[in-house]
Amino acid sequence: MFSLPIHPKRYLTAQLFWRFFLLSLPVLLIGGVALCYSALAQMRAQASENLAGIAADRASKIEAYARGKLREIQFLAAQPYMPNLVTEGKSPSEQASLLAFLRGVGGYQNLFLFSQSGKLVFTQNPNDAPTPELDRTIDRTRTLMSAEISNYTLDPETKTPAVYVAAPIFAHGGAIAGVVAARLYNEEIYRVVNDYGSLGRTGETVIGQTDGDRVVIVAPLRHSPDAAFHLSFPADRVPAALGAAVEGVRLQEVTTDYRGKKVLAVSRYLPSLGWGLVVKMDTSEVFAPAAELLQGIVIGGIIFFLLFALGAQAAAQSINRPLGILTQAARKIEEGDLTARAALENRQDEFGYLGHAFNEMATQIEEATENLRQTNTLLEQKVAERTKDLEAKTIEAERANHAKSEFLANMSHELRTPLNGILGYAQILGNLALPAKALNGIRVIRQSGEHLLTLINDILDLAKIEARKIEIKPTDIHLREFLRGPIEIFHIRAEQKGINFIIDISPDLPEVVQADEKRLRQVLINLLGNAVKFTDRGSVRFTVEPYQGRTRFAFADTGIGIAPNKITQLFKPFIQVSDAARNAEGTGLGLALSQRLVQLMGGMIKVESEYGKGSTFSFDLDLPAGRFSEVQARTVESPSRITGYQGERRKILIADDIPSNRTVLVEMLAPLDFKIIEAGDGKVALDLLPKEKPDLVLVDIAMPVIDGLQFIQYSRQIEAFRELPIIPTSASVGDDEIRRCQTLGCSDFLFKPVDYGRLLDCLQKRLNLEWIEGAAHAESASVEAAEAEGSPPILPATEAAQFADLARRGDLLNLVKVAEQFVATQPSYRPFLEKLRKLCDGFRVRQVQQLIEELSPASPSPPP
Amino acid sequence: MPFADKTAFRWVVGILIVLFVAIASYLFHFWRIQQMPSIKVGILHSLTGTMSISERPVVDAVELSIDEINASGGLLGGRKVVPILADGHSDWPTFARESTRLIKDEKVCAVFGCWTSASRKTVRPIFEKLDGLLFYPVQYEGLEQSPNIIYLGAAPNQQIIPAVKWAFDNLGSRRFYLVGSDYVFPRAANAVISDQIKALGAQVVGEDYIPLGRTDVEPVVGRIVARHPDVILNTINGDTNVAFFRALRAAGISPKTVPTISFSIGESELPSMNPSTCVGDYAVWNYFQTLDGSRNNAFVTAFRKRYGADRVVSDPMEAAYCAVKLWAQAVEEAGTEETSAVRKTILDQSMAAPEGVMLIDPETQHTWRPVRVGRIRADGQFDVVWDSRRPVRPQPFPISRTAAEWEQFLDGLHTGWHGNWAAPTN
Repeated sequence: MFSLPIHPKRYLTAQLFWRFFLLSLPVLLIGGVALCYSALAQMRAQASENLAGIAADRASKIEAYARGKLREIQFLAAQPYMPNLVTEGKSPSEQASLLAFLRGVGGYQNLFLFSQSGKLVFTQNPNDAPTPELDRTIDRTRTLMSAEISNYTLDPETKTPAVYVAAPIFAHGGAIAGVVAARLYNEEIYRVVNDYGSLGRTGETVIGQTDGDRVVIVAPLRHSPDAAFHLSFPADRVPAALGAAVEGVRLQEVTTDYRGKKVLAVSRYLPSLGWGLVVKMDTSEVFAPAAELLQGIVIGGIIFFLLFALGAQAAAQSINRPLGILTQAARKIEEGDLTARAALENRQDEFGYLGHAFNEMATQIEEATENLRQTNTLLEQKVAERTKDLEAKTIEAERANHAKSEFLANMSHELRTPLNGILGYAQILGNLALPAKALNGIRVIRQSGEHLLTLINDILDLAKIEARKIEIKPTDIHLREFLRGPIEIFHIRAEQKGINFIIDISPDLPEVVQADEKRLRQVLINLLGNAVKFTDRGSVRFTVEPYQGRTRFAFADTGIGIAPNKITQLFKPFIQVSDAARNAEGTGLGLALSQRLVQLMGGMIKVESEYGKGSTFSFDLDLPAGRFSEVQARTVESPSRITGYQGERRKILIADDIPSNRTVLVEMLAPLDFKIIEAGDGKVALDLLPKEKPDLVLVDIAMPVIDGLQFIQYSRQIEAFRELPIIPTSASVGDDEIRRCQTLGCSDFLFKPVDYGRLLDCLQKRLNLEWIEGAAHAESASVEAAEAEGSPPILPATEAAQFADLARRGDLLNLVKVAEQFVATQPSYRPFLEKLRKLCDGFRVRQVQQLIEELSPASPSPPP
Repeated sequence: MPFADKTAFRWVVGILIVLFVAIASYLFHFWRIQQMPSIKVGILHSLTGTMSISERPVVDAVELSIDEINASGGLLGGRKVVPILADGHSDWPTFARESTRLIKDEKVCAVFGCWTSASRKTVRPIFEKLDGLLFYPVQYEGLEQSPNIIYLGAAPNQQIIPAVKWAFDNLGSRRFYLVGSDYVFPRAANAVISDQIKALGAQVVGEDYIPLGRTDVEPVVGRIVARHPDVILNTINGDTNVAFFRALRAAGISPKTVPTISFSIGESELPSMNPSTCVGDYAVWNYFQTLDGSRNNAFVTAFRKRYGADRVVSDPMEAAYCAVKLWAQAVEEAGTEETSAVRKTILDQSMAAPEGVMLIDPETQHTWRPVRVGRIRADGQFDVVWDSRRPVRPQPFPISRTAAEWEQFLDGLHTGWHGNWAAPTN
C-alpha cells in the first residue's frame, strides 16, 4: 500500500505529500529549533544560576572567614589586659602569666604582639619570624587605627603562603599601645576554597590576585594542586573569568579557562583579601543535561518527522486511492466499457458522493448511448428507404425532364417549320416590287411571324432559364436601328387599337451599345406587347433614356392597371393577373421570362401601377458604348435593293427534306440570278455533288437518311469538295451542332427561319460576290437629285415647332403622318417629306432633328 | 511576468514572505520594547544655590551613566531608565520636600543625590520612613549607616585617616591645624582626626570653623599663622575656600612651608578658585581624573564627548556614575527594579570602576574604595603622590570610639545647632 512514488509531477500522492512536507517542514524545523533553543537557554541559565549560587556561597564563606578573623583579632586587641602586655615596663610576672595564656590561644598558626614602637614583644612560635608583609600590616593597623588583613604573600623564608590579621591595641586615653597580629592557617582558607561539594567532576574554585602586572593563583586548584603561587599569568594572557574577577567584574558566562577548556564560569571579587574568585565547571559537564535534552529533541524530532511523513503519505494515499478507482472506471468507460462503475458507493464521505454521482453519470451515458444507437439504426433504415425512393423519383424526374426536353425540342422544331415557310415567303414578298401598302403588310406578316417564333422561343428560353442554361452574350448593336423593329410591330398594333403610341428615345444615348440583342429585344417586345395589349384608350409611351449612368427602358400605359395585391404575382410563370378575355392572347410566360432575362442582364423590372389608370414598367441596364463602324457598315446595307451580282453565274445546292424550306431559299436566291439545285435529303445531295459541282451548298442539319452533319463529313472526305463552302441551316439551334459544324470547316451557320440579309452576307463572304443594287439605287438617286435641285424651302414656324417637338420626343411615326398631311396642302415641300420619310424609316432621330432644324425659320429655340 | 518560470516566481514570493515575517517580528519586538514601562529613578541635587557649583557636575555624571545604560539596551530586557530631576536648591528643607515628592509622587525606585552631609542627614529619615533607596556619592564624615542609603563616598578611614597618616609619615607633620566649615562633616571629621592624631602621638595646634558661604577668613588665617602648624587639614566647603586660600597666600603661608591637605576640593572646585593659589597643596580622594587605565580613559572620554572637552571629572562624579552602574547591576540581578529587592542585590555588587575595583560592602552599605593623595597642579588637575593600590574596607565608625559614643557626639552637634545639621550661617 505504501508504494513511494515521489516524483511530484507524475503522482497526485507525491504532490500532496510534498506539499504537506514542504509546508510543515519549516514549521517543524523552526518549532524544533525554537524549542531546543529555549530549553537549552533555560538549562544554561539554570546551570549558570546554580554556579552563581555556589560562587556566592564560596565568596561569602571566604569573606566571612576573613571578617571573622578580623573581628577575633580586634576582640583580642580590645581585651583590657592587652595594653599592659605591650606597654614596656609593666610587671613582668603579670605579663608572663598572660603571655602564657596567649601562648595557649588556638586558631592561629602564630600569634604576635608588637609594642607601640613596633617591637615584637611576643610570638607563639619563635621560629616563625615576622615577614615584611607582617611589618607592613602592623604599620597600617597602627596608623589607620583599624583591624587590617594582610596581602596574601609568599613567605620569602619558608616559601609558603602567608596571611596575617592585625588589630591596634588602644591604651586608656585613646593612644595606640601596640598591635596584636595573627598568622592564619592556609589550610583553613584552602578548606573553603577546595570544597568541591556540588561542583561535580570538573567544578573548580580558582583564586587569584594581582601582583604588579601579573595575576597570580594563590590557592591550590583541583586540576593543579601545586598551583598556589606557582601559576601566574601576564596581564594579557589572564583567563577572561579570572581577569574579570580581580577587576571586580561580576562575570557569569561560558569562557575558556587556564587549561584552554570551555567552562561555564562565575567571577566574584573578595575585597578583604583583594582576591578574584572564579567558580567554574567544564561545559561538557555542566551542559550535559542540555546536551542530553538536545539529543532527545533531535531523536524525537526525527521520529516525529518520520511519523509525520508516513502520516502525510497515508493521508495522500487515502485521497489518491478512491481517485484511482474513479480514474480506472473512467478509463474503462473511455475505452468503451460502459458497464464500468466506481466501487465507492459504500463510502460515507465526499468520495462516496463523487462515486455515486460518477456511477449515475455512467448509467445515463450508457442509456443515452443505447438510445442513440437505436435511433441511429432507425435513421439508417429510413435513410436507406428514402434514398431508394429518391433514386426512383430522380430517375423518374430525369425521365420526365428528358421527355419534356424532347417534347419541347420537337415542338419548337415542328412549330418552326411552318413558320419558316411563312417568314420565308414574307421576306420574298418583301423583295418584290409591290405597292408600299402591300410591302408594309408583308413586313407585318413577317414581323408577326417572327413574334410567334419568339413566343415559341420564350417557352424554350424559360425552360433553359429554369435549367440555368441561358447565357447573355453582348454584341455591338446600333441602338436606334435595334429599337425600330419592336416599335414598328407595336406601332401598327396600337394604330389598330386606336391608341397613341409615343416613342421617346433620348438623343443623349450612344449610337452603338453592347447588348444581347436577342434577349433585349425579347424583353422589349414582351413589355411593349403587354402595354399595348392592356391599353384600350389613351396612349402607350415607350421611353429610352440615360438614367444614373445606366440606360432606362420605361413602358408607360394608360391601360387597365394592376391591382396592388397582384403585383407580387406578376413575375411568376404561368400566372396571368388579367381577366380571362385577354388570357388567350399570351402565354403567361412573358413577364416571368422578361424579369429573368433582365436580371441576367443586370437589371430589375419595376412596376408602378394604379388600378384602372395604368401601369409603368421600367428597368435599367448597363449598356456600354460599342464600336460604331462595324455595325454601321452592316446596317447601311439594305438587302432589299440587291438585284444581282457581278461576274459569272454561280451554282448553289440546297439540301433540305422539307420542300417549303427549299422553296423559301430558292425564292430568295433565284431572283438574284443564282443557279439552284435542290436535294430532298443528304444522300441525294451527296450524289448530286460530283455531277453538279456547285459553288456552294446550303444544307439542313436535320434530314432523313443522311443528315446535314453526315453530309458535311462525307463531302469533306472527297478531295474535290474539301474546300467547298457549305453553310448548314437548322431550325433547332444547338451550340453543339454549331461547334461540330465549325470543326468540319463550316464557319457560318444559318438559323431558320433564314434571315435574308444574313444569307446574302454569307454568300458574299463565301463566294466573293459584288452585289448589284437595283431599285434602291434609283430611289436614293432620286432623293439625291432632289437635294441637288436646291435646298427645300423653309418650313412655316408652327409646323417647324410641331415637327421639332415630335422629333425630339422620338414620335417619328406621328411625325411622318403630320408631315404627310402638311405636304398634301403644300406640295412644294414634297422633297422634304421624302427626305424625312427616309430618315424616319432609318430611325435617324438626330438627323431628323437636324433636318427640321435646318428648315426652321430664323434661329430655332433650344429644346427646353 | 518577468520571471523565467513559475518556480522562480514562487521562490521569490517565498523569500518575500520570510522577509516580511522577519521584519514584522522585528517590528513587533521593537514595539513591545516601546510598550514596556520605563524605570524611573530620581536625581536629587542642588541645581541652584551655593552647592550647585559642585552638584551640577554630579548630575551630569549620573545622566551620562543612565544614557549609557539606555543606549546599551536598557534594563530587564529593554526597559528604559528615565531620570526624574529634582532641585535641592542648596537648602535642606527643599531636599526633604523633593525627596518625599520623588519617592511618594514620582514613585522612583532609587534616588541618586545629595552632596552635603546636612542634606543627607535631612533626607535620611524620609528615605527610612518611605523605604526608599538613596545612592550618596560624596566622601563624608562617616558615623552613619542607614539601611536605605548606599554610601559611595569615602568613609573617614578611606580619606581622612589615611590622609593624616600619610602626612604624618611623608610630610613629617606633627603639628596639625584643623579648619573647616561649620557643619556636621568638618566637625565630625575633625573629631576623627583628633582621635587619630592623638593615637599617633601628634598634636592638634588649632581648630577653627567658618560658617558655610562666609568669606571673612582673615581671623582664622591669622590664628593659623600664629600657631605655626606643620600642616593644615582643610574641611572647608564651598566658596569660602577661594577666600581662604587667597588669605593663606596673602599671609605668606605657602605649600612648601605649610602644606594644606583639603578634603573637599577636587577637579570640579579648582577651576573656580584659581588653582595657582593652591598649586603644591594636597587633596585626598579615592579618584582623580588623571588616573591611568583604560576604564578611566573611557569614562573621561565619554564625559567630555557629551559635555565638552573643557569639562573635568571629580571623585563624587565618578562615584555617582558608578552608583548608577552598580544599581543597574543590582536591578538585573534582582530581575526587578523594586527597591526592596534591589536593596538586597546591591550588597556585594562590584564593578571595574574608573578608579579600580569598587564593591558595595554588605555589612556597612559603604563602598570599598582605594585611597589616593594628590598634589594640585597649575592646570587644576592632580599628580597622584600616594595610592593604597587596593580597595580599602569602609569603616563608617572609626574604632577609636564606640558607635554609641559617635552617636552621642553627633546628637550633641545636632542639638547645639537647634535641630539642624549645620551651624546658622549668620
